[in-house]
Amino acid sequence: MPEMRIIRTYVDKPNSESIESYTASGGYTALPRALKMGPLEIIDEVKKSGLRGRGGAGFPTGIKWSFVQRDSKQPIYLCCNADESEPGSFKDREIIERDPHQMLEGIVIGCYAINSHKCYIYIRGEMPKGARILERAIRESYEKGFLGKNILGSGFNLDVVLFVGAGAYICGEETALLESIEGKNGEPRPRPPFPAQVGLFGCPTIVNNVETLTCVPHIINRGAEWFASIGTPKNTGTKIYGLSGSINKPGLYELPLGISLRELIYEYGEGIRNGKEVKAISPGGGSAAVLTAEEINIPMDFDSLARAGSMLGTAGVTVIDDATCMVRVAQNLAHFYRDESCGQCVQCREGTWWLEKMLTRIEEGMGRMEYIDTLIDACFQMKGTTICALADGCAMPVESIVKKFRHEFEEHIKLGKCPFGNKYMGIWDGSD
Amino acid sequence: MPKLTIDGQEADVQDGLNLIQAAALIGIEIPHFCYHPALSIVAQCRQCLVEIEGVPKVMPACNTFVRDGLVVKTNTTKAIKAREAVVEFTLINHPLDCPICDKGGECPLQLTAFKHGPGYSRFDGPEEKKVRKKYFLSEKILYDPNRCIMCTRCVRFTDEVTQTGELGYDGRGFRKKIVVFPGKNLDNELSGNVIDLCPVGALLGKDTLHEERVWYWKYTDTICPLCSNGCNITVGIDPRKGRVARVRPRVNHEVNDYWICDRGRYEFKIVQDENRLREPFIREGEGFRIATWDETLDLLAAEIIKTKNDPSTSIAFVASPMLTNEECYLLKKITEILSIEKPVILTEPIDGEKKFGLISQDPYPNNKGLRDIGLSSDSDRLDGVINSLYEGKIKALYVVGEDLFSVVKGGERGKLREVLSKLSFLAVQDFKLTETAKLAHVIIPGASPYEKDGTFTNDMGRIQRIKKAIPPQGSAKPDWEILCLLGKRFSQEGFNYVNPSQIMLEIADRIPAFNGINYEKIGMLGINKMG
Amino acid sequence: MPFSVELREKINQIISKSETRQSALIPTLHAVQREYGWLPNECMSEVAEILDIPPASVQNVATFYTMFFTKPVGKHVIWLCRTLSCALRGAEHVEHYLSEKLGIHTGETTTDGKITLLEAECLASCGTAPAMLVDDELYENLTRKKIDELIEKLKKD
Repeated sequence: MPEMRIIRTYVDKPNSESIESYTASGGYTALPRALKMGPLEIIDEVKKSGLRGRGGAGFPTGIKWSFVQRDSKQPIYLCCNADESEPGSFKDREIIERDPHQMLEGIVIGCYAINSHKCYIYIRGEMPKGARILERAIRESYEKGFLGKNILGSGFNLDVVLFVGAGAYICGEETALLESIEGKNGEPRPRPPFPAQVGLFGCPTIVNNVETLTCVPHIINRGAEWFASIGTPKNTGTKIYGLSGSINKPGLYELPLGISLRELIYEYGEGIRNGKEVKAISPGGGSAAVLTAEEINIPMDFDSLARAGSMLGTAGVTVIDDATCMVRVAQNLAHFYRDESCGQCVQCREGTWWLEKMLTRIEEGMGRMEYIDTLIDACFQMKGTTICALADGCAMPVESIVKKFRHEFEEHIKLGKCPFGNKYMGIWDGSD
Repeated sequence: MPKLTIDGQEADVQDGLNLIQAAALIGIEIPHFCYHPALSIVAQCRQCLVEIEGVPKVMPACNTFVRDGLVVKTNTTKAIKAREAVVEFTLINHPLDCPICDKGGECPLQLTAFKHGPGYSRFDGPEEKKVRKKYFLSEKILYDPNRCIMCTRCVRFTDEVTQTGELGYDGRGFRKKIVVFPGKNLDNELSGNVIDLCPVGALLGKDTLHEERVWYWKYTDTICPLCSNGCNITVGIDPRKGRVARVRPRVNHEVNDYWICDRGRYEFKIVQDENRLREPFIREGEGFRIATWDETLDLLAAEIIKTKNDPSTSIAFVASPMLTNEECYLLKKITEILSIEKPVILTEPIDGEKKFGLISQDPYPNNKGLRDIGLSSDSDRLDGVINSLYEGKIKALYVVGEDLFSVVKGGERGKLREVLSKLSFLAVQDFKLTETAKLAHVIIPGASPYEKDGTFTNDMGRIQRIKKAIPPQGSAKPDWEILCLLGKRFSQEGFNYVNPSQIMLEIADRIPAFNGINYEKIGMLGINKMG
Repeated sequence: MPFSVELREKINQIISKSETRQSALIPTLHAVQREYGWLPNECMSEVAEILDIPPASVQNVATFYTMFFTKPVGKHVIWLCRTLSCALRGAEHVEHYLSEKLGIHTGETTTDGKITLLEAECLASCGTAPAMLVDDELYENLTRKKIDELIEKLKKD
């Protein structure tokens, strides 16, 4: 089965990142169309399309846009969240590096819709290549009149600024991202107020993910109904799934929302490498609760995964084979969140640290049986109790691993060592 | 006025309050560390989590504001468990060294752990707690990153209140700690307030480090005497040493809000320790001898009468704005009874913008009060006392609480010394041996402002009570008592006060600026009698 | 050590494009680090002065973000991803290989000052794991041969 490529159509084409390539393949045709529509009409169209945010939370984009008071006396900002840092997620990087003008076109349309004249693209510091390409793409767009003053003679002005981060997962959280642009530590803000009211520099602000904005020109060009006809009624459009981990064909696959996890892994990912079996799947980035092999028939959409106690998140699917120690997986993730916690909320700062300690002790054979329930309870208290969702992001996978693979934890503790006995995690196919 | 329900109790509260404030109004305490009414809300200690009807998650009370119909539950299992968990998380990397921590006994974390904690910790492996070195943020403030719970009050204080920005963080997440920039210090004039703000023992004053358990100290609410702002303070006394051990701000939104300056915090030591006078002295040859109180006051009274009766000479009474309203009133009353020139003040009040809204440039606490009592400064009179001294018109001087050398310019000091040495009589009443006192014939030991009762009127016209925190040193007496004893030597009546409160009743009766005032009305937060 | 004229010019440009002086901080630190390789205290002080913000807030930001260095690093910095997808495809093996090859532990710099080896969190290269970022270039699907060639090149540089 081929992919259903909408966003990824040209990613394999040489020079696909150039404006010539983009315009030659029909790029920047949605923009003039959008500029002839009223901004409210655009918002309506996006609402009708059913587009939900691709950054993780799946919030309807059109509704988000309508939260902004369009006649605000203050400037209105759009921030494009290109801080892709979620473990297992690598879809935005491809858009940025291979087809950035799609995203820029989406940005111009989005800004026009919410009456914004300045957009920040926040790209993470670890993507220097992406930053170089975006810088060039922005320059090209200015030169061709898709950005700047009086865009395509419409009277609409827009400036786009590229902001390069400096290494902090938390800056993918929308309010931390705003803090970072303001030149501060990326520490999420307590809400209320919400960014749509008080955002960047105290002004109304909308933060959208790269993939979300990239969907917009396609919706304008081909219509909300077309978009809504893809996927399932409440999970419309295609989604770029990222397959990684113990899989034969890791990579990105653009497919309608709602495709089954089994299909994704076995049809597209061509199954598990080295003849192993699936043991667990992290279906939506590191922050999602893991699924077991028995749950593999689940449709990969926002609602189905939420019902299963997990989430679609960024749709970064990490597959874990049965030769892998789950304590080690949990510890690997806890370590990530411990290092990335901004340190504001105690449940997160101390909780991620504590989880990592307990998991390390269990893995090293120094754990005690009480740890198992303590882990579950600590995870419970880390969920929904903090300013942002980073603590949840740590607690959800760890809790699900402890609950679903409890026997592995018990075995570690009983044996006083890791039953898998591997010095290093995973398998490196290091020969060329 | 929004009406909300907290734990089943209905409350009509003022708009704009958060749930911590609203709950406090009806007697429900919601524990918290990072929230402070004078600082921005960051909602990061998470200790104040409560349940709100209709909201699935527990919410921080500090960042949830009152609105009509809000139903708040602080006492559900979910809310209680959430707060217990916060205590457990907070204590994971907090060293349980309360027995050797200065904050112990008045530590919000300790109290919260006791009242709202689970009573146990499941954290295993205390040897794995983070251990980091302590360091000084300034000469006076020690920081212990292990105790720090990252409430960030201190950082917000330097960002928002002093706006000096000395404090920042180093690192993020579990590595985070509070730092000053290398080579810099936390050295603004309000810096000591971070010690009080700290809800744990992470910021400690070096001056009181390991001095005493806080519960052994005795506390007295009074007014800082070190400038004209009249900051409200609480003085901690070490009863074993009979000394002031520390000074802390006392909240008064009309005067000093939550803060005091570092001078007020630390300089009581100078008042307390340097050159204190403990006994009356009478000059004998080149030196002094210790005298009895009767002997001293008899001599003073006799000299005053002698000068008064000698038409060829005159005596001047000098009153210092360090004196209380009551003392100044008594001094003035004595001059009235004797029909002599009323006391003069040698210094002018200094106006001008106060630093951080509370540090006045006027170093005296009661310039305003003395003027309300009816005294005026020397410069109002053409032949000011100093000039009269220089011109030899004044032969005798009774100086209460002032050091003349501190009021004249540096170049004039030699001349002043010469003139004072030639006086036929110089009496100095003070609590410390000033340069003026060294030239006196009679030295009368008074009390420092921490050692007596009375009132000061601050530069905004607010009358505030000072309270005796410790007894005067040696056989020294509060100045009002000394003035009563002196007054009785001139008049049988009019000086039989038991305490300054009685004096104030008389002042209120006689002086319009104090009309209707009494100690009860002044209370512990003072009263404004302007206009 | 006052900044070079070029760097000052660059910073002025950043400031002129920024809404607030504080918001110029992160781009400014990038520019300074590009010139010095890391952010010595003197540089942070100077940035604070130029932006008219407290030095503590410069230090604050410089230590919050992992890509700013407040201690010296090697001429080249290797950021090896350790997060789950890379770990499943051998990041720990790669770390061991690199560590042996360079004779340093993660977090250290080779004695010749050429290479610093650091641990990175997810580099968004999960589909091409294991991966590492070396200075401004991403290296994906790492093999022993690729690593050998790269290190050879870095050492010569």
